[in-house]
Amino acid sequence: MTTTVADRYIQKQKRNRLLGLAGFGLLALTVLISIGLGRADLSIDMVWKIIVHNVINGPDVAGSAGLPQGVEVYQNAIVWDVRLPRVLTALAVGAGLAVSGAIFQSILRNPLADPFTVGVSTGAAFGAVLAIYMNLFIVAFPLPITPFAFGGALLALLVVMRVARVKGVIRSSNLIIAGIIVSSILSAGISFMKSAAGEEVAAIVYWLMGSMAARSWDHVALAVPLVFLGIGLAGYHAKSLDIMSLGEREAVALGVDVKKTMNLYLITASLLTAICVSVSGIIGFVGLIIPHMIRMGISSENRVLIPLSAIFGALLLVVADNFSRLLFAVELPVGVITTLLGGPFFIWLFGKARK
Amino acid sequence: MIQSKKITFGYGSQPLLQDVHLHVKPGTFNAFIGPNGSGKTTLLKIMCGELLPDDGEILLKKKNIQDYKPKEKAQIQAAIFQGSAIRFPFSCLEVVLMGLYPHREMGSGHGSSDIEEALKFMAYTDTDHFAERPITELSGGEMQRVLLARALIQKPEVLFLDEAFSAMDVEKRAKGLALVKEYVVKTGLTVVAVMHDLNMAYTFADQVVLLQEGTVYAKGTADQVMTEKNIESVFKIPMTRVDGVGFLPAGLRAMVESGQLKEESAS
Repeated sequence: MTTTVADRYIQKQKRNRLLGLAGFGLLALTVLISIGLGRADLSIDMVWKIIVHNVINGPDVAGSAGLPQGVEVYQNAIVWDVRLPRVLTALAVGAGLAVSGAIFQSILRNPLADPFTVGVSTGAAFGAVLAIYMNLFIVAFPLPITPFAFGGALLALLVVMRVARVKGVIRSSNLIIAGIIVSSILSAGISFMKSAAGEEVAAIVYWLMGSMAARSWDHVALAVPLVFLGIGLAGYHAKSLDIMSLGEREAVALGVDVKKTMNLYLITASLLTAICVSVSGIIGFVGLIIPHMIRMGISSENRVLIPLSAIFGALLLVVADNFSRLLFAVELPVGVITTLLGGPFFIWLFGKARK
Repeated sequence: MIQSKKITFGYGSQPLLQDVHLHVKPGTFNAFIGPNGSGKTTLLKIMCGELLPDDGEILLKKKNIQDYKPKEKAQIQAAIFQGSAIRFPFSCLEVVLMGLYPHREMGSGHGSSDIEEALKFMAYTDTDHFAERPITELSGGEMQRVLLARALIQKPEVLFLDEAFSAMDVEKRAKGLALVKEYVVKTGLTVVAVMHDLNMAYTFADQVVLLQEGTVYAKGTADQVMTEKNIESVFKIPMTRVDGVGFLPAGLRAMVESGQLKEESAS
């Protein structure tokens, strides 16, 4: 029996849906396993019991009385207060960066773009470094880093949009140039504060390298809802994004509202980047490679690309964060891990795809 | 179908187009010809609503083209451009399906009837056999035929061609335009095309608009407009017309040999 093109197309849609479900299952399992891993080794079963208990009863500090049988207070605290928020933050950041990368590649019409191309991340870094730097002097009221980073990102976005807008329209070529300029200026500002910080520079450098260490429920509360919202919005208008990625004249000819779509996606992707960088610092590679691999192996259609990027971006970062916690006695920045492990993997995959 | 009224357009002080009046009749093939810089591409961009004229207006089906919503306009008109640079490996079928965008709600998928329809148009442009290949792997001529299929599935009443087949070799260019012309005759599609190749314009166009420095030098049927005298005075080169066939650059060699060409270009 021969299959027709239509059969195969529909088959492929089914396969992609299954792939999404399988990836989601794998992600859930990885989350549970990851929470169990660490100096205090916990079984998946116990991790599950603790999570269910806290979700149902609310997190309590009443001691061991209310805890399920066989669960110690310290185990409850490790799972609920330490590891779960950290893993959830990694999940949201991985998903957010991968989707943001996919969007930027499409609107900038450049498969090599990533969440950091238009300078929003440098804005976030600038805000964070400013807060860290100020905290060296004003010890009485330490400035919160995450809101400063987020504010810096928004400010950078506004400036980039203002510079890139010519006659009311934002063009992708202008966007790249504006991004590079704004990013360079802010980088110089960061370098200035680094040199002025003298011996205290380590705190700045460490933040910039990107890490999930000591991320709390505050970070989860900021990152998870906004990332989900951003991904949902991006996925809903995916068809317009497909057409935008072909070129501006094509988009006009096919009836896409170019101005509206550009604004929607530029702001969505920038906010995703801003949130991710604000809670975790600069984590490279995820935003470039995950969408790139899905395009190569599965589909370029954004209604497939966006959800799959979210799932596999999250998976990559959760796994990478395990390596960063567990590989050595001292914690390694997760941004280093993603690139060190992901880079060679990508080279291998690229070589295979070329054959 | 389309009327342009008193179109004037200029970047800065030097007008690129001045007082262009045109009437594009439904079911006709219209060609804009003229030397580089004569304003033919600018005129096409204004006619399809991509550029806003400084003065004058474009009426598409008796309504100002600027009053259409983007999707509404794309239900009436489609366009193919020269050398589209698609960077992402969409399959050719996926690219053709994008032509349904103006007719669909956001978020709807494609069932087998959409795919059958896309394949029908791809068969018409002889591209159905690479429906599942990434469009980034095609040659320029193949890609333009895929884009023609995408434009046709859009079910336009007007199709704009911005030198869509200019970069092809002579066979592919002729075949591409012949497909379009056949569609005009069969379905009553209206075509507005910017063309470089005088022979193709002469062969396929029902109305020819000859542009010179932003003004309409002549308009009418190919036989009326594309006279040896008009062509020489606008393109500054003598051409011999073989009636009903096309143009030969006769006399060109004699000009080179006598050194006349050098004097012309120097002056």
